[in-house]
Amino acid sequence: MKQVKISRPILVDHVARIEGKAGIEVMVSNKQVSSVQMNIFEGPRFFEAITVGKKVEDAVAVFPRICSFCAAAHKITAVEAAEAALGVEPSDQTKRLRELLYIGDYIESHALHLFFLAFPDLLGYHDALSMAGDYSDTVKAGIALKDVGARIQSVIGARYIHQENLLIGGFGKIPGKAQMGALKDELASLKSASELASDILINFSNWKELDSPRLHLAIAPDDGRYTMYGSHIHASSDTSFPMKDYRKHILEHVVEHSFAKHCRYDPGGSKKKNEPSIFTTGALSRYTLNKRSLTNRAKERSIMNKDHLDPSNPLSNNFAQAVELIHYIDLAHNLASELAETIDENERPVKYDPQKGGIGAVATEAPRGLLTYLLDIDGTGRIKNADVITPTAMFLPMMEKDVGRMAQSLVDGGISDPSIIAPKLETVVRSYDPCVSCSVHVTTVK
Amino acid sequence: MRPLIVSIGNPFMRDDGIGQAILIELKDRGVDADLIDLGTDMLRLSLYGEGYCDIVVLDSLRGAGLAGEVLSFSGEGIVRSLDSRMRSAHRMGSIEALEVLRSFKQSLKGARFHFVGIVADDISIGEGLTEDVKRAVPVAADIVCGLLFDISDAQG
Repeated sequence: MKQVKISRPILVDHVARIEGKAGIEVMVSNKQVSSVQMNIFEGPRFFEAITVGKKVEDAVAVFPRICSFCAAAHKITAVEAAEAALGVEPSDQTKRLRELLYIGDYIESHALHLFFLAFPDLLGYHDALSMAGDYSDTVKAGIALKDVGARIQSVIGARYIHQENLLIGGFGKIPGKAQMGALKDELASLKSASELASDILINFSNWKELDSPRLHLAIAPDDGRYTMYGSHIHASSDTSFPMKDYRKHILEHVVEHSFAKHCRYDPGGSKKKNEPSIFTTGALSRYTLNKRSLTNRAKERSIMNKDHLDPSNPLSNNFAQAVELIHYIDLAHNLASELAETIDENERPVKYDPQKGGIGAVATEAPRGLLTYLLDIDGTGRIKNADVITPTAMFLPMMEKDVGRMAQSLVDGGISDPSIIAPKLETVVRSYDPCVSCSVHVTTVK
Repeated sequence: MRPLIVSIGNPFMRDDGIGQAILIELKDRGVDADLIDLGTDMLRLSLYGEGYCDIVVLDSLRGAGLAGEVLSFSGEGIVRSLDSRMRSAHRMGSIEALEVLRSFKQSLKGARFHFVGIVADDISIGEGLTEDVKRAVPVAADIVCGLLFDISDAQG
């Protein structure tokens, strides 16, 4: 049997820096894709390990380093896991500020992914800079949206890359009414810019060769609001489970070819008819399961473009993020408006006893999907055990399936040149917006 | 006007934390400049770089020289000599980001950029710089201090 190995590293962050540690490998034998492996080098295991033995307050300051683009997501989820463990109930104002902070993360992350990474792909440019000449208004809108997301995080989190103002029990310093008022005005001015991403994506149809029914998981909104919070995780298979029980239902397992663990969903109970299934999570899953709760403007945009939001096609994730950009600009504007009127700048964090100890498990919706944290705190207030599952670890098996589907369709169409196949596979991977140990940066000397 | 000094990188990826290590050294020396850690996203300069005439970027380098070697570039030499146009799944390279910002952010168009970096040895998950790189941090800080003197001198 003749084997043709199509192997090309995808330019995810660390790939260009830690050679041989990551990439896509597709094996084709007799014109059939025989295996697809995403070799992922992911950091959470390291962060879980180095936080063991640290004071819980120090540990929650380390976790945001897992991903500099989802630093707020990691910080908020870690803090809330610590609060669940220690029995701390933050104030309603703290919850609203955290929600706005988290939304800032969403806006920044989605704007970066769509305007600077996905659009150059779709519009046929090498990078954002070369796209900028022909699409200057688009790039300016992307920068403005990314800026407002970053500013929200800066105002609430103080140092926005690590959110050091966010503490167990509350915030160190509460932002003022004037700061909230300025955010409200900036957000109002960006409502039309938030529609630009979907305006562009309307021109691109999903690749039909990727169509395949899939299982989606997302947090179910408790109060009918489409946010990152909820007490249950539900699935498109009409099953659900309490988010604190995530370890019983989201099963991690080691695969030989990747540093990252892979996940499968086990509905448990009477619904357990089959083996645990691979699943996906992220903007498309949230849209698919929670679309009734979108703001009116986002709902209208999605209703008009259902073909671009097909739950069976991973490229729909781009459009789902574009819909979320509209939704979260509206939601952030509403929250900032409310806080500009009501915020109590003198509120102090809830007091707690770290030596109470306990186990807390929490799931939230990070920009790219479900994020779970379990913190086990001992009687001295130190971390005994930590467990973090990132969205990428959850959707990785599904992403491999989609890469295989795409590769097979290209091979079936008579294409065997890796230089043609690889960019298509990269586009599929990029649609998932994976976070692959992104927290690294090196500049190369030419 | 005080210059802005920004670091890029992640101290939990060993030598990727070069930028932060130089920034800490400069903070300890009490330099007369504003210091900000941008994490791994140069585009964040869009928010923090407004109003500065001189911006110094601290980063780890590869592709030139031996581990621990300190290199510095200024003005157009940055774009001519450096490259980080990796279009990753999750973010863009810092030099590409810098070019986008210089093209589209009015407030950054007039700024002069300087770049100081150390050639990295080990970029992998872990804490602490490698020995050669650690020894080069004060040297890099000296170069930044020299730059700050020149900037101040030029401003009169």
